Amino acid sequence: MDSLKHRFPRYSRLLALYPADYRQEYGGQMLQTLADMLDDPGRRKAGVWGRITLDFPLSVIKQQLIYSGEAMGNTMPGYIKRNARLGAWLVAPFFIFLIFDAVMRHRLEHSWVWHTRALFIWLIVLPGLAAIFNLAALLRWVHARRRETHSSAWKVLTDLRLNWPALGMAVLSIGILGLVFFHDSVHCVTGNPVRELHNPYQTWQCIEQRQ
Amino acid sequence: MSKRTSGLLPQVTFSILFALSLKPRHGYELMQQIEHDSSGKVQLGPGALYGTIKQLREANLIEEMPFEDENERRRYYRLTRKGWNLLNAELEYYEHTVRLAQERKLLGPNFGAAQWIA
Repeated sequence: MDSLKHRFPRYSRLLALYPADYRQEYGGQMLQTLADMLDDPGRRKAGVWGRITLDFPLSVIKQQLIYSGEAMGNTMPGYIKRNARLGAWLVAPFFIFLIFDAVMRHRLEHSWVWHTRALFIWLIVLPGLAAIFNLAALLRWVHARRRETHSSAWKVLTDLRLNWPALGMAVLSIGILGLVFFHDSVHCVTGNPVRELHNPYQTWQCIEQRQ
Repeated sequence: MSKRTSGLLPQVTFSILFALSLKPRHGYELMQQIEHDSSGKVQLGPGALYGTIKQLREANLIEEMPFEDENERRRYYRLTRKGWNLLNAELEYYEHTVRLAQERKLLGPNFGAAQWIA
């Protein structure tokens, strides 16, 4: 296989984009098949590379999706999935209220949903709980995985194939909190953190006045 | 006709099973046979080919043949009994469909006798 790796250095490097198991089983055969295609006098080389260009990205995406699905079903720890699901329920009101408010032309802002206590709950408490649950799941994951594989914490944390639901939910919920607490537009104008997302012109004017 | 009555195998899956019906083949041979059988209409790249081979092996429809030389890069695949039965059921379905189409004059020497009905 080494000779084929030398013959097709770029293609063999690109094979690294396939899941490891798949690459191990079929990587050598794929290289051999490519060599056979190019060595066939009945085929034009440009045609072969054209076909590879179309085939490669699609098959990588397909295999990665299959791998992720299998990993999610079999290898991914239950607490990662459970906490991510819980997080999704906790941040759901944020998106539901925003969408309803936009669809109802901001009429929701005169309802109980926009009262300070309700705002506090769906803007801060629920996303905060989602962040805590998912950060806790990630910490547990990093701890357990490091003991199993002796890898660095960073490497384990960035192994997205097995932790993406919790990592994604943690980033999303922290993002919501960051938006609420730190975005200029949130503190400007009316103190209504959600409304400003729909009124960029007013927000911009307010920020300019503050400056 | 067997219990499986619908021709619902994906094109590439059917093509691979069909290409393996005569003899075991390795990847490139499969690719050539599929192109030949489909008159060039089905053209696979290595990614699509081995992705489907993987699925078929997991479904126990084809199997890798034992090999002696570990360094031999070409692996040969053959149909399993299950794969053979599935292919037969699929072909029976096609045969039935073609027979119906001939009866309705949609195929064969009388092709064209049937009219498109708006």
